[in-house]
Amino acid sequence: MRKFIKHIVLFGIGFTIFNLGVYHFIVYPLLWENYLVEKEEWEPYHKIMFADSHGRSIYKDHLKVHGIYNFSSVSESYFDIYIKLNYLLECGADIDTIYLTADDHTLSPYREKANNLYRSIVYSDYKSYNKVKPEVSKGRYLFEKHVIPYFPVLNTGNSKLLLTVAKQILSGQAKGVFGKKKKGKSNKKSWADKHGRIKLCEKRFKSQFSFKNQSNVLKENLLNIIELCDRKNITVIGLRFPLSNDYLKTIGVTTYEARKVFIEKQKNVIDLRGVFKDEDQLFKDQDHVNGEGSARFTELLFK
Amino acid sequence: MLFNSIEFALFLPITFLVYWFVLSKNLKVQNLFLTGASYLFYGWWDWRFLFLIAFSSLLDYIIGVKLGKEEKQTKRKLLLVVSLLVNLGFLGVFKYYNFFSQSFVDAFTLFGASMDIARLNIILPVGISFYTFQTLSYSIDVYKKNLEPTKDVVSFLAFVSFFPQLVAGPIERATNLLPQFYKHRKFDYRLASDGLRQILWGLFKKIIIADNCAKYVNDIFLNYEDYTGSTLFLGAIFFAFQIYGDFSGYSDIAIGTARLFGFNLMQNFAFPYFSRDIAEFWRRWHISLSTWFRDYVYIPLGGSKGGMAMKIKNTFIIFLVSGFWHGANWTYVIWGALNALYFLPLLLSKKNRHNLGNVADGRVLPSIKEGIQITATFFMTIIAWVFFRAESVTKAVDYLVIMFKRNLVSMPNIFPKDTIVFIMILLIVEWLQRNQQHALCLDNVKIPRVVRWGIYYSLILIIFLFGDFTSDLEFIYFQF
Repeated sequence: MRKFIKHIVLFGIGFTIFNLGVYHFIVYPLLWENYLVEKEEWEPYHKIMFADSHGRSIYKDHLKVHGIYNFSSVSESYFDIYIKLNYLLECGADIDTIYLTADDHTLSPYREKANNLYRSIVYSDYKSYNKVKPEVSKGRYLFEKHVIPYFPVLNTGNSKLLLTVAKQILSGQAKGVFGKKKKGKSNKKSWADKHGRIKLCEKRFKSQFSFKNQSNVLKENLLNIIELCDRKNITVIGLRFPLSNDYLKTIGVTTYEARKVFIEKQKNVIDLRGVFKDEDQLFKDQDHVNGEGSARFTELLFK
Repeated sequence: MLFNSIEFALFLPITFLVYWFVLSKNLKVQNLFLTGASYLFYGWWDWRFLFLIAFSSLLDYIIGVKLGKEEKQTKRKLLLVVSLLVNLGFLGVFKYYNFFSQSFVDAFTLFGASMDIARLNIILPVGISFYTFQTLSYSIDVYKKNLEPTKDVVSFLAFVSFFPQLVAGPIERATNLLPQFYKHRKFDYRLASDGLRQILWGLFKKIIIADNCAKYVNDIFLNYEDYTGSTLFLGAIFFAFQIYGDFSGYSDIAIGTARLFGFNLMQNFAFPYFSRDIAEFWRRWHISLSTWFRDYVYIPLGGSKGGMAMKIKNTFIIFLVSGFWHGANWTYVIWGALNALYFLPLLLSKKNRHNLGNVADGRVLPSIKEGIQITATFFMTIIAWVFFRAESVTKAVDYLVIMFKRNLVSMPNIFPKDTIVFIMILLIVEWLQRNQQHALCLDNVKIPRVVRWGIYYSLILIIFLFGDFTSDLEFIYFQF
């Protein structure tokens, strides 16, 4: 029995060390470092932008000039946004308007999984989290909030990231992962050439639009956000972010109809999807604007 | 409580530590603790289920005691009938009442008459078919005097509710499992470490194979009208691996968990997709159920002792009953009938016991003949699985018609490379280990610890990197 326990403990220690290493060297710098925002940063603002990486690529400084705080994050879903909005309101934020993503892919079932479920949990307490996910017990909530982040291998939400890093390490491109990226510059060489662009567009399209129907879970969360805002007298404005010409062509008319939900709920939607369709130099890849694109986007938004 | 849940990840080590460190000296208390842990495990789904299993267990315990004392054959028979009626009655009410009432109404509607029978708004207790069969085997064996009735009520309760195999088998025989509760159990390092390996392989099969296949299977079976024949074919293959990964994965976890507590459960799957004919497939698939039906239905009906007509009749009966055991739906009945039809030529030509040994015994690769036999058997099973998976018989037929008619030889619309690679890994590992009790059995293999641990870490990494833990996919067989 002693031998068995000893081996289990040693195995567990090895697994823990491996996880902490992955957390320290990969997950923290890539996922957490810029995710956590102090109250002082958002508190002065009454207008908040919530979106995924499409919104995240709009520079905070560009929006701050117009009194908007950009609370967007990579891979954010309506579920995460609902959690964050609840958090802000419970912290006493005085919000009068939210700019909320209404992009075509935001109700794609892929976003149910490729999202920030475990990250946005840090912006919740059990009471608010329970409202969104009543099936999660308190023990499980505490485990997911306080243990899982340090065991990134156990968090399947990190799978894609870890696999990408593993692939880059194996192909000797690890520097690109660990080295600091220059703000607004493309990290995808393929975006430079036309053939690469089309391939990137097809790949992205396949990952975001491979499901037949929209996600009911995400739609419910979107409706929850709208309902919460209506209750708190917060204006909701839908936003469709710019896409490159190649990606617009690839998507065509495919959509999971987030926009329709906004319209049905009588919310305005600002559609800037095609405003840069002949200006590829404003993008760092198929669906994210670069620094110049961010500045132009902000100008257009407040014209 | 699901095996692949956080709750179970906490429950198992706590139960294990208390069982071995606190209670190992007192067998009765240890058994009592196992019963309590099993009831907690089961009640985690719904505490109301506990009344049913407790009632069923106590009834069979009392009937067993009475059967042991009673000498008069008529009274003994009566006691057995009570056990059968109550246990099968519960099963009938909870699992089949709505099906029969609906079929009755449909039959009347067919003849122009209208009828209204109240439906029962009840949930099916998890694993009821499994523990009902387990406790029935006890009553029948005691009645037949194959087994001494137990006087130890705690051991009996622990036997019926033993948590590793309670909700999805293997359906243990009292003759194998019950005596293990009477003996003082000593911790066995080899048994426990092999149990952990089996659990790991079971988790791989469930989380990586079954759950990944499930995503595509659900989509393809739901929208089968929109896909090409090749996609539907791939969907049927994926379902074959989904159900195998799901069910045999559960069995592996169950057997491995039982080993941690010093118990040996029967092997439930013996690499069935390497079978050379359908008879061999059924000797390797869900062995505990097949042998249950063989011993308690087929043989009492006369088995293969009578003429050919009787053999055919009995074969059809056990396949149909087996199909019906899986669920109250005609799809399962057709699935059973189809398997009986597959079995028939072997029975008629007396070749149903031809392939008793392991395939390619002593060789690395199968011969061409064996390869063709394995492929043909697999193909037959996937056709039958379409009926098992489809929502209705009509949809299953439609699915097959489209599969064969619409571009069967073309690139499938859906082609998930990762999932296909994992299925290949599963097949290669299981092929290499086909002579073992389970695919990760390394008892007779000398591998340095670093390599062994490397294999374990890699499997854990694969499970977490490629597993889908967000869909809450339960084990398919829980519904049975």
